[in-house]
This record gives sequence, structure tokens and C-alpha cells, in this order.
Amino acid sequence: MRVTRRFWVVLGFAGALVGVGLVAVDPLLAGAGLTLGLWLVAYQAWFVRTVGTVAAADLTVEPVRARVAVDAPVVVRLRARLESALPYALSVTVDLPPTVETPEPRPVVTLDAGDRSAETAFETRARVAGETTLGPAVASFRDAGGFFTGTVHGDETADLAVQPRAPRDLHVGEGGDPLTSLYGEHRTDATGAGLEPSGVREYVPGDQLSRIDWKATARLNHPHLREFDVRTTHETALVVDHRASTGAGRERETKLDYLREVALAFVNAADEHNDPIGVYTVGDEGTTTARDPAAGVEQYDPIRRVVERLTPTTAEPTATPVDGLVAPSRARAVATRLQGDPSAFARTLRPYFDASEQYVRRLGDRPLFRTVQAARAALGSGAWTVILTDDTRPRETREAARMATRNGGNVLVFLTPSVFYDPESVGEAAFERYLTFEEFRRSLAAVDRVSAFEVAPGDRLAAVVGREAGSRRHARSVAGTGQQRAAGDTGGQEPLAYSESPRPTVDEEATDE
Amino acid sequence: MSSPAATAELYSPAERLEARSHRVAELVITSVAVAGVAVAGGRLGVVAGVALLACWLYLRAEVTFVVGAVLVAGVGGDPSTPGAVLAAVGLAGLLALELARAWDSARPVGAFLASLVVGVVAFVAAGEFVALRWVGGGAAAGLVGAVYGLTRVERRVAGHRGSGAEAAGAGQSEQEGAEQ
Repeated sequence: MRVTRRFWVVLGFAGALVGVGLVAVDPLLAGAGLTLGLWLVAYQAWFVRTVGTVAAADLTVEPVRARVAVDAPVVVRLRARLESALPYALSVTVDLPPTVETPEPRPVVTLDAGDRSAETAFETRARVAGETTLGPAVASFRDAGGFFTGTVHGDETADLAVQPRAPRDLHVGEGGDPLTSLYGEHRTDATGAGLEPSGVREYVPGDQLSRIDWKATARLNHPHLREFDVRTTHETALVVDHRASTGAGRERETKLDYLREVALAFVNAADEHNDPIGVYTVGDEGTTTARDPAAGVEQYDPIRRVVERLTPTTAEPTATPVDGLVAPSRARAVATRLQGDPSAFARTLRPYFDASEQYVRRLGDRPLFRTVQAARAALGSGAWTVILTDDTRPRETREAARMATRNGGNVLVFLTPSVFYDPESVGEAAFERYLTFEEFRRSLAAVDRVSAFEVAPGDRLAAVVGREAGSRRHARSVAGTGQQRAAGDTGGQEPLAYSESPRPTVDEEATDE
Repeated sequence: MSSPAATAELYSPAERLEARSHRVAELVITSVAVAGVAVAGGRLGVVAGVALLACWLYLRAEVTFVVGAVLVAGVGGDPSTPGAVLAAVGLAGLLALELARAWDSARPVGAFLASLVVGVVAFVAAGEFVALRWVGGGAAAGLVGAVYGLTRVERRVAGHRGSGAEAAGAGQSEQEGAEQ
């Protein structure tokens, strides 16, 4: 309880009257002062009587969602309910921590004199990730005479889990259907020499004598061999595209962020099974990292760091330089000249021409393809190449995948469909874009020893493709589109963006060879 | 509407005239006080009564009360004379009506008037035996004690929900994952 200026003024009047009355021995003035004091006490007594009603009030703060992303809007309900009506107005607001944006004007629920309940909702955003407590609600009130004010804090607070913006609801699958597993034990379904016992079998001519299991032979009275499960390792090369186009999407939910999650899953799986794994990253101007496959902690952790620190590279601008800025091509030409110049002037200028992005190998065009080509040279037969890229360069991706299948290589291609990272793309147009992508993915998956998957935010996928009816519609449409495409090829219709045939042609095979 | 407690208003002794025009009961009781002042002071009392009426029109009840008390004392009113008693009743009634209007209830008014009557009787009775300064001082001390006691009661009532600065630590944020 706090007192207002009016209280002090009246108290001053009362004190003055009593003081003067006592000094002047005037019972009229002294009595008037005491009457004024009694009047003040009456106000206070009635105020205290109503404070109990406010203290027993139901003051609640309740966010509509318990988990939100940083800077995502969340609606919060603020409610006040009194057991009995008050003769004065009551304002209820909420304590928000500094990390949560306080709306302007500040959210307030006002119960006018006689009201018993009121409710409001407001939208706020959390600026920092972590566990945040909203509330409690704070009721402020002033007595009917304006002599006293009070504040009562509610009991209830609401916890809000604020999550950092990051790839969420990761969908990896084909045609909108999620994959059930990506990576697992590497059984070969064959027996032979190994570590895991599989069983015993009778010796047959041609078997190595060293493989005879003497205990089994003695027990069974005939030469027997113990068979073991043959297990192999997956030699895997991750080829991660982080060109400028992979920066599409909302902050921390870009294509690259989603591809990174998949890449890290492969690194973790390799770590778990102690498989050799390498990483090759592709920027706009060439290969930015080349780390040949190897096993061991000294390999996995650096690869994780490489993947985690990937950022989209900058595409070389094609615009004409203005205001004295020098185009990158011109800068490179100057830098090349400076490299061969031993003068002090050249030495001084040289650091200023160093590129901010470090490239292991600068490649003029098709950096993904050429990186896969280089990676393939370091891989053994039957190795796995995992290509993580987007769908903006379908021809290059196809060429890269086919290059990776050489020498018996198996290829997994993870593609981020641009339509799912473009918030503007909605409705039928988005669905058409997805169909076009799906056609490309299927054509890629049709290549021998190539599997292609889509990597997308699950909620966006559901929004564009639809969960139930959408999936049926999708199936029909894909089938229909295939027929349309076939009809289009003969009917002279416009080719789609991915204007490639579903299966590689003989010419393409010949070109690759 | 802004928070009532948060509004830092400056105190003004004046109140708007049009609000006064609706208060017939207050006008009646003020007239009683004016009549009392006039009776107590004769011709001078009439002038003082007019001044009191003007105060009631433009100023708050407590200011009108103080002015009325000073005017009654100023015109030489003896507390035992009918004029002074009439003025005292009118001025006390003014305070009671202000209390009733504020709380929209007769109960605080009844409590106030009952306490006032008891207080006046006690004051007069005690004045027969004890000097005025002791009676007045004792009554004033009693009122201060009542204010303090009510403050303690209010703290106890509101305390279990945390009022004012006691709950200032609420609304904190625990940033466990801030660096993520």
C-alpha cells in the first residue's frame, strides 16, 4: 500500500488543525483536525477491506504455445477474475522479462468498478533463446477516494521455451513420404572370414586349412570350418554444396542449414560405426574443402567443424562496378599481376587482394561436378558418395551424380527443393513447382546406383503438398504429369525447368564416358 | 486506461464545478454548514457562509471542511453554541457524503459517523477532567496508531500474494540456452 499526494495533503490539514487547536486551546479546531484524521482512517479501513478481494483474485498469464522460436510471435492471454466486484477500477498487467518484447501499448486488462472478470490477449516475441518465464500478472489499484494505491502480484507464471532458429521438423524422403531410416549396420548377407561367429559348416575341398575349427572338428569327428559374418565398412564422401543459392530461406532455416543437418547425421553415423568418411565442400568458385576419407576421431571432429561452419559463399556479381568499386574479375587480374611483382609496393598491396573466401581449388564452371570428379579419384570401388545440394542446377547435379557412380560407386543425392524455402511460394503455383522438382528427383533416382531424396522443412512440405488429401492428389498429379510430359514430348508443349528425360539417354552415357 | 497505481497525479485542491451541480445532497448539507456559520457569526458569519459556499463549489471536500472549520473559529464560534454545532454537523456531513460517493456504500459512512459520535462524546467527556492538549494529543496518537495498524493488516492480507517491492524479483528470465 502506498499513499498518494491527496493523503499527505489531508494529513497535513488534519495535523495543522489539531496543532493550531491545541496551541490556541481551541477545541473546535482541534476537533476538526481529529475529524479529518478519522475520515482518512475510514478511507484506509475500507481500502484494506477490499485488498483481500484483490489478493484472492485469479490472475493468470498463459501463452497459447509453450514452445516458440526466437522472434516468432506468440499470443499470450492475460486474465483477471475477482470473487466479488470492487468499488474501484483494477488494472492488471504482466511482468515480462527483458528478453521478451514488451508490446506497445503495454498489455493491460482493466476491470472497471463493478466488473468481476476481464481478459485480453497480446502478441509478443522472445528475442533470446532459452527458458523464459512470463508473469506473474500484476494487479494495480487505487482506492475510490484516491488516497491509497496497491499492487498485488499473481501466483501463476507461465514458462515459455524459446528455441533458437534452426532446422526443425526435418523431412528427408521421396515424393513427400519420409524415409524410415537412412543409415544402419552394414551387413553384407554373406559369410566368410570375419569377427562375428555365424556358424560351422563341413569342410569341403578348396577351403583353407587355416580356417578349420579344431574344436568343432574334434566334437563332430569330421573337419569343420567356423563361419563368420562378413562385415564391411562404408567409405563415404560427403559433397556439400554451399554456394550462394543454398542461402535461400529464413535465417537459420536456409537450405544449407537443412543440408548441414543431413551431413552431420552421416558424420555421426560414420563415427558410430567407425567408417571412413571424407568431406568436400563446394563454393561458387570451386572446392572450398577437400578432406579425403579416413576413419578415427581425428577425422570426424574436424569434419563436423567444417560442416558446422559452412556458410553460403557469395556469387560473383555480374553488375558493372560503380563508384570506383572494382569487379572481382578485375581484382583477380590485378592480384595475379601483383603475385609476380617483387616490389615493396606490390607486397603492400597484395593482402588487400586476397579473397575473403578460401578456396582449395578454383573451378571455372560446374564446381559441384568437378569437385565430385576430384573426390571420386580418392575413393575406392563401391564407396558411397553423398551429394548434398539444391535443385537450382539440375543438369550439373545429374552429371555429378553420374560421375560418382563410376567404379561401382553408390550415390545418395539429397536435394533441397527451392519451393520449400521460398515463403512467398504458396498455393497451386507452389505445388506445380514441387511437381517439377519431384520429376527431377525421380529422374535422378532412376540413374543406376543413385538414390535421390528431398530435404525440406516438414511443415512447409505439409503446407505445399498436403498431408492426406494432398498426398493422394499429389500421387494422381505426379502420374498425370508424367503422362502430360510424355504427351508434351510428342505434342510439342513447352519443356519444364528440369527439361531432362527421366532416364539417362545413350548420348548422355557416351558423353560421360 | 493507464494503471491506477502508476499514474502520478499532482494533487489539486480544485474540483470541476459541473460535477458539483449534480450533488443535491451535498448542497443541502453545505447549506446547513453555511447556515451554522451565519448563525455563529452574525453579519460577518453571513459573509463567511457565502465564502464557504464558494469553496464548496470550486474546491474539494477536505479543503471546504478546513476552510469551514477555520471560518467558524474565526467568527468566534463557541463549540457549545447552536451555530457552531450546526456548522460542525454540516461540515462533518460533507465529509460523510464524500465518503459515501467514493465507496458507493453506506457502510463506511455509518462506520465513520459512529466513530465520530463516539469520538466527540469521548472528547467532551475527557475534556472535563483532562487538559485539551492531552485529550487532543491522545486522540491524534490514537489515529496514528490506527493508520499504522491498518497498514500492517493490509500487508498481511496482500502479503501472501506478494505486493509491491516484495515481489519485485518476479518476471525474471532464465537464459539457459542463450548462447545456442
